Amino acid sequence: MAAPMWKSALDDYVKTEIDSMAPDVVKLLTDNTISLLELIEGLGKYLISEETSERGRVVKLLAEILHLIPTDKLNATENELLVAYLCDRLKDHHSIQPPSLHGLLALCHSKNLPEGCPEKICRSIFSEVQTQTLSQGDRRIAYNIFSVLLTTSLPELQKIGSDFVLGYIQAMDAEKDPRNLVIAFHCATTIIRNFQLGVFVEEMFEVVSCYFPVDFTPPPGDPNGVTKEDLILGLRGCLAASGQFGQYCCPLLLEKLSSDVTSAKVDSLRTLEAAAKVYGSKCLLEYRTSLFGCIKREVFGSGDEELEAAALLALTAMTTTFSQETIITDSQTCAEEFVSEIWNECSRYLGDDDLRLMVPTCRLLCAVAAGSEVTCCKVLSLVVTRLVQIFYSHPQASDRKAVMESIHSFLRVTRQIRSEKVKKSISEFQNSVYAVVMSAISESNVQLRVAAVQCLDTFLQLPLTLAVTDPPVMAKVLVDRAFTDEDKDVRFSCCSVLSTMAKTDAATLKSVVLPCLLEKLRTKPMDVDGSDPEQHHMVFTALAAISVTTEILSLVVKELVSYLSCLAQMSTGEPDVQSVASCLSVITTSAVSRPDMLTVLYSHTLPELFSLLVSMATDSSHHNSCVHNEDVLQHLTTCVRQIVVHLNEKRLTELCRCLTQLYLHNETAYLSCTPSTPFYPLQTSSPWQQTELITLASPVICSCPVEVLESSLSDYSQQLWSLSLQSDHKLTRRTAAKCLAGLINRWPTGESLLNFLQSSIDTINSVLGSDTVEGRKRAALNQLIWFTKALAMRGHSKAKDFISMLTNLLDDQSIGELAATGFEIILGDFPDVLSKPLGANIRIMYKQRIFVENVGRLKEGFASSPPATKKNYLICLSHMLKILPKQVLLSELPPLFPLMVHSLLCDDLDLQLSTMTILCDLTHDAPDVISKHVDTLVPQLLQLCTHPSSMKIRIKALRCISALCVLPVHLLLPYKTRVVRSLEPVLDDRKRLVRREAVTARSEWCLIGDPS
Amino acid sequence: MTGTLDNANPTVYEASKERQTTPDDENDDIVDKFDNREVFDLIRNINDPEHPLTLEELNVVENSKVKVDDDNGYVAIEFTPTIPHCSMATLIGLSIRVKLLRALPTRFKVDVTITPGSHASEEAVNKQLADKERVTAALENSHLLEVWPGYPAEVKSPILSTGTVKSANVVRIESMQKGATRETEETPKR
Repeated sequence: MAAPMWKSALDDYVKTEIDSMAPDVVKLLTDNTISLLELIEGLGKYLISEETSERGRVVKLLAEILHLIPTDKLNATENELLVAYLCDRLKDHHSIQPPSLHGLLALCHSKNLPEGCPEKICRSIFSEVQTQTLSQGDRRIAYNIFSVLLTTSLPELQKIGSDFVLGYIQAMDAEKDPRNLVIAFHCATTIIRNFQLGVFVEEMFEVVSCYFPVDFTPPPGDPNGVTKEDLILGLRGCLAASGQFGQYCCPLLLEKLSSDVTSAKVDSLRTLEAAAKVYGSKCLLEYRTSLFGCIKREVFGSGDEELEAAALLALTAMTTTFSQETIITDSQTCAEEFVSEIWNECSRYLGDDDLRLMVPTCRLLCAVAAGSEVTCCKVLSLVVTRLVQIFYSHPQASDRKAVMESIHSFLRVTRQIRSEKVKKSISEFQNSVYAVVMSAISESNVQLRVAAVQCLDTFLQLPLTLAVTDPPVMAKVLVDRAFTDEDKDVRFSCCSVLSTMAKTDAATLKSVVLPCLLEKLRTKPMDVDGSDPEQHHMVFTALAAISVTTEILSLVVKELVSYLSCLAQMSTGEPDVQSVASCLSVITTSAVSRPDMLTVLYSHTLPELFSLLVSMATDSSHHNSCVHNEDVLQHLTTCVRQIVVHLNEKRLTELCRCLTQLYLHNETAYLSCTPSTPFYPLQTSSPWQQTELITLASPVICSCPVEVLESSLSDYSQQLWSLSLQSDHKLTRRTAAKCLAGLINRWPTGESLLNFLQSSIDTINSVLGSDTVEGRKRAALNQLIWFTKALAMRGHSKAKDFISMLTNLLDDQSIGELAATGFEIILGDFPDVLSKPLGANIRIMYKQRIFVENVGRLKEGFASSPPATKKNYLICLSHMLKILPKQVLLSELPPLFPLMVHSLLCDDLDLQLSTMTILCDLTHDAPDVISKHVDTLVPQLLQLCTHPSSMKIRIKALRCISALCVLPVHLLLPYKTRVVRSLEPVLDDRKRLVRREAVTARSEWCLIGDPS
Repeated sequence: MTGTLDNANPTVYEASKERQTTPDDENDDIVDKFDNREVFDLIRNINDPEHPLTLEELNVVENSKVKVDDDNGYVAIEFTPTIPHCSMATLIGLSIRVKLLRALPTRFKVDVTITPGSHASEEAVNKQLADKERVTAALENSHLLEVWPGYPAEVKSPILSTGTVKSANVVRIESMQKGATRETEETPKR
């Protein structure tokens, strides 16, 4: 718009109701085509117009312009002038007030607002505007003005003093809109905190407290997003903003606490918790007895967890407040007096006869103890001995368990407060607690024992000063319990106590526990009569549990590796080998995140493991050794992988160089011993004991920086390629394929990769096309699948070709099914290869992309394929559906649903199972899609409920039937009688697990359509 | 159910753990017979009519008082009301019966009785529980249905009455819709 044009546009704006002018004018202002002065002059004739509506329109325009220009556009004089003008307009006709306020809000945001203006704005609003008569949106503008000014010019507003307070109280009075209240509470909090309220304390309190407790339910689908919680927190901020409110607020809280409404009580208690510190002990002292009465009532009788938790936190806050008061009356501090008062009231519940109220009483006392150091000491000195007495005087296990748990809760509180004083009171009761816990550990009731062991765990974390003789005795008892206790929970709890002990008392652990465990490690279960192999297994759990410090970790791992090398001498049939290997992997997994432990594992454990395995593989007399076992290797590979993932780049590069030397060039410098025969794990001619060791190196090769591998990349890929196709050993073929996939995934884009891929495709095609034995075809297909995964993950352009090769194979009678299951590999996640931690090259949403690109082709393929291979398409689809995220599924589902129903009719167990799993989930997520097919689903599922050979199918089918109950009742009612009747024979299924599902499903169907 | 409870503060017992699944359970070739624990599992989670607690937690039913004879198709259950004059005894007994009627194969004959000596009008209750017509009527009773596990707690314990705040609360926050209507009633200042 040209400069002169805006004046005519202005006429239109004022005369009509078209509001689109402001942005154009702002453009002119910002590129300095017109100046502010010119603008005002232009507006002039309307600003002084006799017509109220014209004045209103033009002030509105001015306000809009002010909002749109940059906040630093106006200088101080211009701001002052505009503020004066707009404030003056507040005195004008009532219809001009809203646009004026709107303009003032814009000026409040201005960067160059001169001193004096904020005061002027506020005073004008207070004197001229009666907020209660404005509409919601305009009131909101007024609150926003206060809110902005309180943030930007607080010191200036403070000078206005009580006039401001009074003005605000009047402005906020009787506000009812939740959106405005959120802002109003915020302003009120700032005012209460920063202004001298003077004579207006009570008025200020009244104007906010009248909303307490907040009772507000947002309308459904509320676009404003104001929640009850926002209002509660805003109001709580106000109430807890000044200590002067205490005298008014405490009676209010007491009144609400005596009501029957749970939410009001919870709100009151939380407000008390937030405000206790601000109100101070002087105010609380006056009300403490009645407040405590209310809190006690809630803890003793409410049965509502939320309410009880709020009550206890409020009590803790009160105690903390009292503890900060230093004045001493009658030789007691305020806090001690409070504790005594509570104790006088509560001690009778800790009497001898009825223990019903003991637990809630202990909760109260715990909350008091958590308040401060002083109260903690005082409560401990009163309670602990009493509890110990109660324990001894009540022989019943359930009572004793309750006592033990109460003691435990006191110990937990004590653990949080660390100070010399508390340490002293711990030393007073530690011996009696120790004695009682140890006696409880040998009780016959299982739950009591668990409680005692858990209590001991916390006890050991306290700063103790036990007699020298105690820890060894305790350690022996714990080890003994860990192995011989009949209950699993007790055994595992004992292990976690040992873990605590490793941190707090390493000396005892090394001198008593460790030798004991190591002895048990070397004692074969069959050597001891009647010992349970599962108990022998505890030794591994215990060893893993205590490996929490670097020192103990290195001792344990060393022992385990040496035990492993000892076992390796034996041939087969050693269950311990697997346990040792899995124990090592557990220890490594939990230790790698600690740098010092990682160093131990990297520099000692790794070389030892490699030395052991290589020497076993190269010595032909050990070719029967029990370490040549897939599971053992799997566990040890996990160790390597965990370490590799946490190594820094320098160490990783170093490790990769060493292993490349070892694997490719038979350079054994990395090992601690020289193998008796050469080690060539990558050659097809080597024995499988050597070749299977690729699995150990693959995490390193696949995750190390590509530059390091550069020179050996082609060696690795060629050799792995031939191994994966030609080796006679299944594990070797599989791991070689995986390892190669890991390399391809990170191979830099370029000629060399393309060449390699091209030659691979040719080989695979020729193998698949020829009439070779099926075994070779399968190996080639497996390699193809892994190649596809590696390329699809990184989003390589060749991936499409590979996928279409795979989908073409679905029609193959012999290997079509294998190709279909290959999609599970392609879309699945594997921790051991091509995973994020191992640095794989993963393009986001690659799974969705594969699904979207291929789903059409699969559907067509299903329609056109011969009956014998139709199943393969369904299998392929079901793998895709299983892995895809739900959101994607829901949009793609409707057209695929008929295919899923087909899958149910197929005679393939896995396919039926996976289809039903998807179906079960979908019933909850997309009931409307399922509803359309109820008529085909119900009969088919009922038939599967009596599947003769697989209980898994029966269970899944019953779950699906029970899931159907979420559908609308009118769809289900026609089937109710039929389902209930058909499920009756299933109630008598030969398997208990099936019967259980049948009961659930039938009960739910019985209730369909019932009036309740 | 009136406002007063027969036994307002009952002793709560520990619930037993979930039954562990054994390898035999997962073997399709082995036949699992109905045993005491299985039938106990069916009834232990029934909610008490008075409390938000299960019959097991109140020790009304115990594993040792469930007898199952799979071969002869017979189940005998004894239950113990929390107090000897419990007015809910019949209701509890019927709940157990109805549950088993739906969850056990029809070849089982089920007897539900009160543990001898644990209730003031033991014989009368036992007689009612053995009455076929009464049990059939119970199946139609919507109140009994509410005792099933799986219903929200509010439904189960209507005794927790909700009152109102007795306070001088002057201003209540309006809902948004009300706030909107208010704008139309503006009165001009001048």
